[in-house]
Amino acid sequence: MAFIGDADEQNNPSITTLKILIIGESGVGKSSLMLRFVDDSFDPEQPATIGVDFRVTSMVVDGNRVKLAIWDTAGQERFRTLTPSYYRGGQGIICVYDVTNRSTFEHLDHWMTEVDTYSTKDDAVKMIVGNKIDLPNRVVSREEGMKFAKRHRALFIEASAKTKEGVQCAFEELIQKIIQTPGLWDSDKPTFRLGQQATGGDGMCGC
Amino acid sequence: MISDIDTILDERVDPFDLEKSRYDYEKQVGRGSPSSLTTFIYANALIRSTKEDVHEGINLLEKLLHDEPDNGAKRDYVYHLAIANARLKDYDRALAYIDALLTHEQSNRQAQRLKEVIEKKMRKEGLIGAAIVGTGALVLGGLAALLFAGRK
Ligand SMILES: Nc1nc2c(ncn2[C@@H]2O[C@H](COP(=O)(O)OP(=O)(O)O)[C@@H](O)[C@H]2O)c(=O)[nH]1
Ligand SMILES: [Mg+2]
Repeated sequence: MAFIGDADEQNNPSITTLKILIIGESGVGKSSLMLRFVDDSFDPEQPATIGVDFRVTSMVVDGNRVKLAIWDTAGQERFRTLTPSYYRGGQGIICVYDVTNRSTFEHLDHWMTEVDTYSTKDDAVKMIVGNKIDLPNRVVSREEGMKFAKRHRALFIEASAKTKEGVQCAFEELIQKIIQTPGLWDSDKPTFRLGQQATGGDGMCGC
Repeated sequence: MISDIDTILDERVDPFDLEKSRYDYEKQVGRGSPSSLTTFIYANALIRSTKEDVHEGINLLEKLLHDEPDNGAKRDYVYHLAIANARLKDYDRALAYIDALLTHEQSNRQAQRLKEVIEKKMRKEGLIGAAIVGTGALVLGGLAALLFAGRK
């Protein structure tokens, strides 16, 4: 898997554009994960996201170029009512918590309910990301995170936007899973549903 | 919502969301003065709609900005005013708003990127030039200082 620039669009046109959403409580590192993935950088003083941020990038999965539209939501009360429309058509949903902050983990239930309520794709691939594992004061164990993800049929990964650990892997695994889910991306009609369940849940990623 | 867009400026509102936010807003207007949250949600839908709607959205956002004492909310209004003005191709104002935000938050990448997107659009339309940008600075000169004045 590799990133390629715009110039390669002609040689290797993208087979699809995937809509990926990043959700979770304020301050868990949603924007930092996106920044690490798209720009490979980190800002220790990352300002709070305004409304909704949006980035386009692309990656190559199994030889196929896939364009990614990544939506990063602010998660603040002021914008919460705006979010339903952002779920629409989302094929991948990354739900982030902070391993050093238990309440962000406890709020995952709420976020998963929101996903189930607003997601228009029954088979959208969900991924739980426990972020900030570089910090020494972890309070949510890996096992707890894994258990939660399993209960919600979501992929699971622990990561650090600061040290890069797990970040690339998280996106790769998510995209791969989406591509492997028939009907989720190979139909242009967003209202067309096959009602297919994502199968399995174990990672494909070797990192 | 279409996912195949390249920048935040291409985003379009879902007609249903627009209607719902309009309904909520008008209901509150009918009862008296609408809350700033409801107004903001409606304005945010308007600025992703038709040209006429964008104008109306800008009016609402400017009013919100004018009446808002809280800097946290101001940055939201200023950012969205930049987007809305860019959609109308009023690049002077768009840049003035985003510059105001950047003066306040120099390393804000989200704001930096919006500025890049606006400038790229101007170049595409053959509009980039010191004269034009300069006019914008004149039109809205001192905006930054005014907007975020009185911060602790
Ligand atoms: N130590 C550490 N700090 C992080 C990590 N990810 C984000 N942060 C910091 O946590 C704060 C909130 O991050 P941000 O991305 O804005 O969170 P968001 O509100 O979910 O978008 C910022 O100060 C980041 O620098 C991480 O993996 N490790
Ligand atoms: Mg953020």
